[in-house]
Amino acid sequence: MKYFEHAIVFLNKIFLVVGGIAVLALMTIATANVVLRIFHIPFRGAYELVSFVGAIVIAFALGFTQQRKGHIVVDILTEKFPKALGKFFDIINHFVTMVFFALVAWQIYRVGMQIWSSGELSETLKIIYHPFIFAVSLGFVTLSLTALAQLMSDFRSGEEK
Amino acid sequence: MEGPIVGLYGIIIMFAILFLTKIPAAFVMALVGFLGVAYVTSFQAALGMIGADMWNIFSSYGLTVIPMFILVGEFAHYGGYNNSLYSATYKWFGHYKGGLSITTIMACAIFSAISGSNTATAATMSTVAIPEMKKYNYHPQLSAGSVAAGATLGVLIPPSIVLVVYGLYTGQSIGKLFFGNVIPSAILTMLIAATVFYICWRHPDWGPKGPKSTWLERIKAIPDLIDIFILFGIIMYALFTGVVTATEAAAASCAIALILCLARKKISWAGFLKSISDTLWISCLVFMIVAGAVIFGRFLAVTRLPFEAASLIGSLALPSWVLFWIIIVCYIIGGCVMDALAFLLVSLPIFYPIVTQMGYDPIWFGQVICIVTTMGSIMPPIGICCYVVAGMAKDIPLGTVFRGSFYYIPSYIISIIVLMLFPYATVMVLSDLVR
Repeated sequence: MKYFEHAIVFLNKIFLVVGGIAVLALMTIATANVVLRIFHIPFRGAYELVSFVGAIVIAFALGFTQQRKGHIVVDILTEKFPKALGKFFDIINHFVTMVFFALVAWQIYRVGMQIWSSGELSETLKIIYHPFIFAVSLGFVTLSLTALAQLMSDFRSGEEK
Repeated sequence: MEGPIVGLYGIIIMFAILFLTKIPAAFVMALVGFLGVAYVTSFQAALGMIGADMWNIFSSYGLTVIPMFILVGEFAHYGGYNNSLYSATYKWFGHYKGGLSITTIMACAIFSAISGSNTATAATMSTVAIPEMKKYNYHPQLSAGSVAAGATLGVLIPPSIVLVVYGLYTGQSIGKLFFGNVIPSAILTMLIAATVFYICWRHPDWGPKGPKSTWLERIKAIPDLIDIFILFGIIMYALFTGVVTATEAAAASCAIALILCLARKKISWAGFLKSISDTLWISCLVFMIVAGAVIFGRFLAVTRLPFEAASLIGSLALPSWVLFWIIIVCYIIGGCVMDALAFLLVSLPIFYPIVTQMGYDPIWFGQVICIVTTMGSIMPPIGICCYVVAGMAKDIPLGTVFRGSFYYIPSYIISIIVLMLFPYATVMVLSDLVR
């Protein structure tokens, strides 16, 4: 089981690197468009490209944010719960996250498949954009897998005790 | 069951899950919204909605402004602008009674002009300001309280992530929101600084005077602030003229911040990597809250609860200002028990239609809400700024930080009253200038 958890940590690291490159690309494209507009040679597809790259930035950070427990949790009551109950809620939390976001990933994948099969192109650049939708779906897959790894870790720490 | 009643149950269930389980706020909103839509319409419809909505949110051009505004603040944070900022403001204010606290508040205000996060500002300023104040025997309540209160300005002063998210959610211009925010921010900063004078008047030994700098030293310190004014100026000018989008303004300021950090050798490779990874984390956190709120808002819209509530409240005989203060009190209580941004987005689908129905200006309401949610970050029991300060200053207990911060609460209330009494002079006079 530990191999799986290590693999997820490694996967999140790779996704973080891609997300990091994407955020710098986002900065560069948006800034370049401002500069190009000053010289009256605007890059017409910049808005579209920024939107697609922006989707990658966030999607590829999903697993990493889940791994570092970086989301906002209202723990004003739960932190006062007994340890065993807290552990129980950890399991519920990780299980719900895993199932729900697997569902979300699947639905986004279906949106991508629809776009792919209809041959739809982006409005301005006229490029295929379903790969970006699949990438977002993949981001949610990593979120779901990270929750699974955390769920495994919850059970293992329970057994060790 | 009637639609609006389902919506009401949905809100209760959402809060119950939020408080009784450890599921993150963003996930709870999305999950309850999804299940609610499935209940009101059908499971198939809810499945279709969640896939399409998530893709639309993730690929929204408007939301790309969030990682860019966070990145510029992170570059400044890891570029060590806090140190130079603090020493520069110290030369101007350090010799007054409580001068180091004033310095801290002013440095926070200036740092906030490029950072949209209060926790980043609190962490940044705690490391610099608290050891200095300790050196000069400042009372821990004054030192920690002033850092926590000053750090709240991070959320208020443009580029404020709360205002960005509010603007994106309600469809209001970010440029108008930022410009409308200039005077309220100045009022609150002044009131927080005035509170320090008040504390030092009540407790003369809490904030002893520091050494006085010469005028030459003060003038020499100004160049340290120039980078920050350049970045703030670029963002505000670009948004004012409307020649660029908010994302482009933020991206350009990011690029310039990076160039300045590299040119002045202010950022290390490790700091650069850390600023990128922190940006991804915070952006993801904010994005997911927005996504959760959009899905939850979709559910409420399907139940027609916000519209029914708005028309019900519209028919009540109560004066609008009474209703308005009821909403404000809800925000204060909400801000006390949960994260400001999360509560803002949970509540906006409910309160925003009511407020617009009552005829309040959305840009003005954004400023009021921003101040109220800002105040939540120093209110017990979960005031995030106090936790950050107590975490950074290991020898100051959390209770002392909260007690110290409590002195500043009236500043926020007075600011809101001033905004209510003079809506045009405080907000619209500048926001109306933006094209």
